[in-house]
Amino acid sequence: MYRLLSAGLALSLMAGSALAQTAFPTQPITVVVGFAPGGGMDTMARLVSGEISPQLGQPVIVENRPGAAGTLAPAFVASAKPDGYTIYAGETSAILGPVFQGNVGYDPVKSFTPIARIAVAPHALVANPGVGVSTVAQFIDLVSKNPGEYFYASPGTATLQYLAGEMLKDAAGIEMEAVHFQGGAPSVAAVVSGEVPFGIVSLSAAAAQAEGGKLVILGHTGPERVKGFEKIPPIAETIKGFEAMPSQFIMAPAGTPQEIVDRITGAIARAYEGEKLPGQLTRAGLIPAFQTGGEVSAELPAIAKKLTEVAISVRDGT
Amino acid sequence: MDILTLLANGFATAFTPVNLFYCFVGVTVGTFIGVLPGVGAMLGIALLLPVTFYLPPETAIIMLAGIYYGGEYGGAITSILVNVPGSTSSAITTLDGYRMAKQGRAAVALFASAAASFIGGSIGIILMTVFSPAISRFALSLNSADYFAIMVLGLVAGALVARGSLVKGLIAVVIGTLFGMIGTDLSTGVQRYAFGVPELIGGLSVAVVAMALFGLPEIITATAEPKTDLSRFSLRLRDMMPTREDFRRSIVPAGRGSALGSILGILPGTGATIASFLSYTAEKRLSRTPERFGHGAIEGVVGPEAANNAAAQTSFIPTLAIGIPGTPTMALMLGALIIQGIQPGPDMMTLHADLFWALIASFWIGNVMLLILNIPLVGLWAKLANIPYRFLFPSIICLIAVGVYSSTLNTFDVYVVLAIGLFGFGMAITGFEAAPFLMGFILGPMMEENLRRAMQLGRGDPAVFFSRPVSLICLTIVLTALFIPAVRILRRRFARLPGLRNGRPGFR
Repeated sequence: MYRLLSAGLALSLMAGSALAQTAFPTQPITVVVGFAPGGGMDTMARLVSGEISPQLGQPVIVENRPGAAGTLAPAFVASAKPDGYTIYAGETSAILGPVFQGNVGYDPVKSFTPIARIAVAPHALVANPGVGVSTVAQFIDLVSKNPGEYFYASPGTATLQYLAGEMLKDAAGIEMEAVHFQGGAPSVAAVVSGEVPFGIVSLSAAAAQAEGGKLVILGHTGPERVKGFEKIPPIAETIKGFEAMPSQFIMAPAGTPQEIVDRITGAIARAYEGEKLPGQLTRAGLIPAFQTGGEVSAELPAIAKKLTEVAISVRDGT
Repeated sequence: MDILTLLANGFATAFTPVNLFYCFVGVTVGTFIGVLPGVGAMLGIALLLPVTFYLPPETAIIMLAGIYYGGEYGGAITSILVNVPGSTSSAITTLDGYRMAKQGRAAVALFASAAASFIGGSIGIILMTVFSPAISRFALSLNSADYFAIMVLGLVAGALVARGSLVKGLIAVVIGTLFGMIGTDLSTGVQRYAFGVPELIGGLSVAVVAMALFGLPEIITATAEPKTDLSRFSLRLRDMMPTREDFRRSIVPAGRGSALGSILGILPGTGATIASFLSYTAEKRLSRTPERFGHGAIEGVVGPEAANNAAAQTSFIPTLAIGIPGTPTMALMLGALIIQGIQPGPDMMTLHADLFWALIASFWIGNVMLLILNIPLVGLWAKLANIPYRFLFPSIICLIAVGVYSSTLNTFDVYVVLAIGLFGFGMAITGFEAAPFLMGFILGPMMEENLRRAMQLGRGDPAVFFSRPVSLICLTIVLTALFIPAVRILRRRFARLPGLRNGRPGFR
């Protein structure tokens, strides 16, 4: 009896999975975010899931799994069943987990099949207005004349902002010291109040403060001028080739069937055709920059390799 | 335009039926989320965030803000009824609030807490209405050295909260600090006490520790003495009303608590919690009958509840006036505005004056709604205290576990509740108290962070702590507070000195 039952169960399960392959999705899709609600990552996931849900004909639910500096979520998705029903909304910063924490339970490249790049979010190099610099060139001049005299605010050790700061020091050949704060908001506050003269913070937060005259944005870390922030030059205009730009992705566990990945990629691409999703992302301070999963797969290994090297050198203090 | 015109315009916006409705939704959801242990305002706001996409910006922020300050009203309810703090800033309310409930005065405690919350909230709003620009400038002028000094002051206040000895209080603060150190060190990235457990890398959650520490030991203790039952206490309307004596005792503490809360609310992150602890300590120290504290003193409920509500209101000041969120929850609220295309910055009060003043006006309306909502509910809540323990306790444990799990979707935190709960029981039977431990847990790591940053920025010169007024004042208060008991002890020792001639000094 039991054998009969279990055989029946197995049959029906197989039938279910066969169906899923032809008509994905047949059940709600969960988008896992590694951070608490609010903030850029969560906003991105919520906007995207709101747009693709009607297209896929199934609810797309955002699930926040914060903890361990955002590494619990990618680890959870990496070990989830690769059926497209559990996907990950993550940022370039997921590359840092394995460097700073050791065994995190995922490989930022090998554990995932990219679905799409959604947006990019360059950092801004900012100064307190009282310091009296307004360009990257003036900044380099001032700091190099006083090596080790100046501090810059960073939102913590295992962050892309800190890495960008250390990369900038290297590229410009200058000496300054990082002061760490508990996240982005306190580091913005420290530069606004003048406790710390410089800082590397999110471009959108910096832009609002700069409009009110509380901060001076010297440049951003993207490779070229970005839409919506045309007046702000990239640091790369002064230091050729300098780039440290986080991107936000949607990824599936490695081994997810390609047609399922393509189905979700297609839904996101269609959401980009209208003005709505790009407009919402822009208003949320993100810079829409769609790429297909294939394009991401082509670029990601090199980006991950470079960032990992920088992160290791920063970690080991070399 | 002067403030009154702006405020009048704000009221005009806030009084539209749509805004009134969403304000009511916000404060009601806030109260219930505050009541549920382990479920914070953060989760409530996150749940209702998608709704705000379809609302005008001012309606969205009015509702979300309502959840935030409504939570402070609700947080006290479980503190009083079952000794489980609904929110961290209500943890201190358990000390006397729960004792009052055990004495059959649950309704009085709830009534006093709601009234004090209203007073605190109102005073916070008045300050916000009149002094927002000045207060935000002051908040921004505080640097790491000042924060360090404020944290030290908070820690000493935490030790003084203890019912028993100051030494045991200090030890509990230190142990709490050590628990707070679990996780990744901010300035070096080194993992401390994480033992390779991924969930520990980010540290323990304050809400989880607060609940486990106050709630579980009480339940374990109560099961050992099964005879206590609250059902014999009557619940007539007459018993809900505080006596004239209660009123007399409450007025000054409510005022002091409001003042403390209003000032400390501007501190990012933990203003409301520090304010409630400091208020309790102040009332206990200033009272002519300090021995009543911890045994159902109404001042111990009124002061902290006025303080945390005042702080909940003034904590909006730096967020709105400078555009820099003080807490993750505030960041979430600003996120709702950002999605609406309003990027909060230093010009918020001038660029979006209509929105700012509509929000302030909604605070007044929301607080009145909360008072009206809470007073009739007192009877309902107090009935909960009548539920026999054999039904009540399993339900509480269940609620705690579900609440904790729902905020991180991780069973690890449920185990943390169990472990900390057992640890807290161990502390309770050895005479160490939960309140100073929690203060150490929250403030210790912040003290360390600011100490190291101040020293780094000052290039190792300790003069940074004595060259700034705020820091100097706080450290002076700390030294005096510790010096006076020390002198008293030494005096007593010296008075006994003649005994030395008889030999065997010290052993008594």
